[in-house]
Amino acid sequence: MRKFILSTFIYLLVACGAILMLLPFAWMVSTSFKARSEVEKWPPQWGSKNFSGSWYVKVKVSRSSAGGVDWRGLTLREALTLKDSQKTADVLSLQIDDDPIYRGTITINLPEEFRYFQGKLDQENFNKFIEQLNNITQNKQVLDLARSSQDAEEFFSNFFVLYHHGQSALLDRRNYVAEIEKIMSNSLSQLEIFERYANRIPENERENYLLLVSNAKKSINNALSNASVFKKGTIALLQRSEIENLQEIIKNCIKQILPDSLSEELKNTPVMQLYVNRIVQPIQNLVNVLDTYDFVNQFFKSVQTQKTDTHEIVFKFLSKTERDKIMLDQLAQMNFPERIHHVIDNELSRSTNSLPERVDKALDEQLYRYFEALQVDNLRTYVQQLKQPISTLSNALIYAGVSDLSQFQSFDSLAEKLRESGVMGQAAQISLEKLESLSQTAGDTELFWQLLVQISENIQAVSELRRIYNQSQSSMKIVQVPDFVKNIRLNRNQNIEIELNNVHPVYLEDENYSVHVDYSPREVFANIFQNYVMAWKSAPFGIYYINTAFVSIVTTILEIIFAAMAAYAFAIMRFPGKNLIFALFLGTMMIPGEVLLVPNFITISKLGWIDTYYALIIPWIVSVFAIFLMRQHFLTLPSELKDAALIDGCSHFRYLWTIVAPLSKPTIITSALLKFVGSWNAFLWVLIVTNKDKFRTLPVGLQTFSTDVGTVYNQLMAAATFSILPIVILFLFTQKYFIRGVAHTGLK
Amino acid sequence: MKRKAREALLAYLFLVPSFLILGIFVFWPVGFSFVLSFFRWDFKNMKNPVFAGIENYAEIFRFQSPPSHSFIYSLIETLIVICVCFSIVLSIYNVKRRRYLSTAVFLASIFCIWVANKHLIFSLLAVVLIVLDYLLLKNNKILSKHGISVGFTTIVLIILWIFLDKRIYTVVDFFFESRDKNLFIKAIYNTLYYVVLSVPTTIFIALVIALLLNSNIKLRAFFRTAYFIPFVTSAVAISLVWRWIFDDAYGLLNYLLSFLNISKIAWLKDERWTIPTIAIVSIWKTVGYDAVILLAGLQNIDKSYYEAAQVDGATSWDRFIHITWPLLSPTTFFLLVVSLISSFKVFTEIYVLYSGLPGPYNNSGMTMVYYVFDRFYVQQRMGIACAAAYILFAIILIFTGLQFWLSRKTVEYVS
Repeated sequence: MRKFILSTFIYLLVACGAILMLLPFAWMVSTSFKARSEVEKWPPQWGSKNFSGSWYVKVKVSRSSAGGVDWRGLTLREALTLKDSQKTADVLSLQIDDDPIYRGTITINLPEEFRYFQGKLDQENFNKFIEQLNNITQNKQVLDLARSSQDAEEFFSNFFVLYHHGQSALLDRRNYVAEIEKIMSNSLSQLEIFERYANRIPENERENYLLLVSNAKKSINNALSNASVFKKGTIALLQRSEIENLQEIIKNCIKQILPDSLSEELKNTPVMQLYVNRIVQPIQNLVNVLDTYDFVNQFFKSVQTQKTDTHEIVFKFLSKTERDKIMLDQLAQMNFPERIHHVIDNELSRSTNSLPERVDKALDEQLYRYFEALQVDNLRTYVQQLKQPISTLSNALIYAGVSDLSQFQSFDSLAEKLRESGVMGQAAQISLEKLESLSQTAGDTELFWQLLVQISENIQAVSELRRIYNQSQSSMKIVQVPDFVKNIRLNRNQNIEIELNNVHPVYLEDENYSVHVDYSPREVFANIFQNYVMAWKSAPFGIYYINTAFVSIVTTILEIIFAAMAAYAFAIMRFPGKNLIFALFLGTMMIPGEVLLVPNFITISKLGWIDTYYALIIPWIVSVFAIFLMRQHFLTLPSELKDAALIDGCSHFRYLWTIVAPLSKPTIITSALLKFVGSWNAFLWVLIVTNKDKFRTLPVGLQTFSTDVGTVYNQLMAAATFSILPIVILFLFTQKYFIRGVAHTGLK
Repeated sequence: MKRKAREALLAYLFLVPSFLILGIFVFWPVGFSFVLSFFRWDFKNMKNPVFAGIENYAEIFRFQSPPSHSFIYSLIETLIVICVCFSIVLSIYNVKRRRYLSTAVFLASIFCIWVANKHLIFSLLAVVLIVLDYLLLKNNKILSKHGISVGFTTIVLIILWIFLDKRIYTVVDFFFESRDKNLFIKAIYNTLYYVVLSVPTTIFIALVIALLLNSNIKLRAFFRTAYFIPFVTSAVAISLVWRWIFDDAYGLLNYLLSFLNISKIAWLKDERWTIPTIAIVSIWKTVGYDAVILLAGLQNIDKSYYEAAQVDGATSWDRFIHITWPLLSPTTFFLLVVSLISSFKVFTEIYVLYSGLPGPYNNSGMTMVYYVFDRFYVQQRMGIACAAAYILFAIILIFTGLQFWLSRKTVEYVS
């Protein structure tokens, strides 16, 4: 019995220890499977939603459609995209407020009471509404909107922007409560003054007046404390019931501060008029903000009567070939200049991956070839210098409605055109000046102008290509949609864009959408290893892997050969000075590698070996420990064996490799493995002698990757996992030799 | 005769590759590094180093502001402390034999402790004590008989006095004070702190693991593998993993500690936790290696000793103390030397845990190798880096030499 308890206790201790030792690895692997949002969670969790076949995704409606855009502040690509999107269709965009989605079938659930309005609201109806609104609202901003808006949709979007969005949204609870506090505390301080005005009131009314003022103070204080409760809430915007409560609180307050109880005569005195203006009016305005919102919202809801046939928008990711096909179709419709077309076709024949960047590069190369005749020092930097100002100018020209630079013959006519169209901003001015100064270094004006036109064409073509590429890459396959949806895209895996069919997005932006994604088993598998793929792609881990394997293998092989030879000499051959040399060798084991760091670095750089494989391999191919280990083993071989072999005419060299080495296989494997692992994990030396990714090994690569990504621990752990995996597997299969080698070191 | 010469020639040929590589990358640099350490060679004088004598060494030990007392002063004070403590112990051991003399020594020593703040009397008394000690030791075999226990007691007494008495200013005080005034002394301090924290802990835990694994359990190979795996994995990768585990806001370690009602610790952001953090990682990494070596040592012990002890009715504690520990001591000693040397060279863990910085702030993770790396790679002052590396080399040599010297007295070699 006692024995049983003891052994259970021992097992428990050993198992706990083993768990503690393996816990960091388990945590590493677990983290490597997690989605971004799950990494920084308290308390930490072991599982991940990546293992489940269905996610719920938080989304919020984003307002890409509203607000004015300053054209001059945009890049060419953005300008083109914007122009395009305004031309084509109305877009409802849903921002995914969650982990990005890379695959799967996405379903957007429309609420049960979903209503919308198709087409444009007729002007007559809208005008009638505006008339009513003018009577109701006192808010200046809303009145301005009503006046400036062309149609109902524009008014609605701007109105909701005013109330719902941005820093100063009127319905934002903090803003609104702050406004209440500001106005009411202002009223309270004003009331102090009104108390002192009592001497201007006739004697007989004075008491009533003072009562009113003190009552007003009380009720405003009351309202203030009631309203400040609404400062706190889980959602930034005030909710329906809260709006009603606030309305009631403020209206109650207004009822009590109105000077109704006073006589008509007194009401007309300047003091009372001032009272109404200073105290009552601002508070009425306060509640008017909410009333206006109610009124507009009611009308807005009332026009939305149409129901949908289906309450789900379902779409899924396209395969790569499908996406490429969409891109090719769109490219076929474009009419690029012949030379650009040629380049695009050429690049397409290789692959479609990152096509715009590759075409951009190829077009630059083409320019370098065409304009070699130009008299400039360095054509490459010259062309790059030209690119930025031309891009800015083209942007301005597009806004002016001119897409072709070739119709201008000089900078003067160009400047005139820009000034005419009213796009001659500061940026355009600077670009023009820069181009002019650059043109003087070129000499040949005609050739320079040709170059200018070609660069401009290139920039436009690449921008177009980029747009098409991004659009096709983000295209989704529609599975089932209501009829007002024309097309769906998923931008940057984060932003769902729904192209609408004759429906203004403002009629859809007032709904709550719930989104979920379903994954097939294959897609779940891909999700689990998503971090691994992303980590692998974001640093040249392929090169690191090949380098590490190459360096480790070569180092190990050379080390074994040299160590076996040296050990053979020490163990079996007789020569003068043997013990001295052996002692010298053993003595080097005492020297810490750090002492050798600086001079070795100098040697390597003198040899010109910085950033070469030599620097990583040559200094490490002799290991005194391996020589020692093998010598010990060679000594145990019977000397009769050697005598027999040598008498038979076997040379020392052959005897070593055909008889001694095979007999000492375990020792050789042990030292090879120790060397291999040491070489695979080497850090400091590799860090010092390599500067380029091309020659770096995994540990250094991993370290640079970790400084690049910072605290994106899921990818970091994925990278750590795949960098130690080969060694762990190797160890698991050959641990016998490892343990033997290590155990031997202690017993010598 | 000719065959012998041929064999010797062939042997030299066999040794040529190894000798060549060792010559270029070990023998030559050892000398070259030593020479370099006397030259001013930095980013300014890259092409032509200037001979600078011991300037580099002086530079390494230059203080930003001088400490309150000089090193010589603290050394004299320390020697007096050692002398007084030795006298006390000696007088106690001699109390039976030379009663009057040893009582006199004892009283003088106590008086010495009492007047430690009056430096003149203190020093004079110490000189007197040395004379008395000489008289005590004359014709006395106390040191050869009880050498170890006398030495041990004296050391304990010295440590107690040094750390408890604030009136005296010893080498330890000097060391602690100059830590904030000189980076290299800080590096030495941090390294020693790290060594003291990690080496004994690792060996102790490894011994426990080895004893457990040695007690005839099933799945031994599996457990041994589990303990050993950290040792073969790349230090960079596992340091990254630990950086994540040590995260103060979302880390696993703080979560596990929260079960013990320990509030969140800013492992990687607090100066005080820098060295313990590095020590935890390295203990975790090397404990399996040490355990495997100790396990091999345990299995190498002849079973007949235990059988004999069993017959004599020894308890398992007796068996451990009288058989296992003495017979395992060569292995333990070997481990001690190896761990000590490798602990002095700690670098990668710090570099990765703190993303290329020596600790979160205040150079709290600056160790000697990091100092060498910093001077050489970051500041490009080769001469100073070489000098610092040589000091590291010397310290390692002193420590290993000390251990070997001690081991000759205590370790029981079986073979």
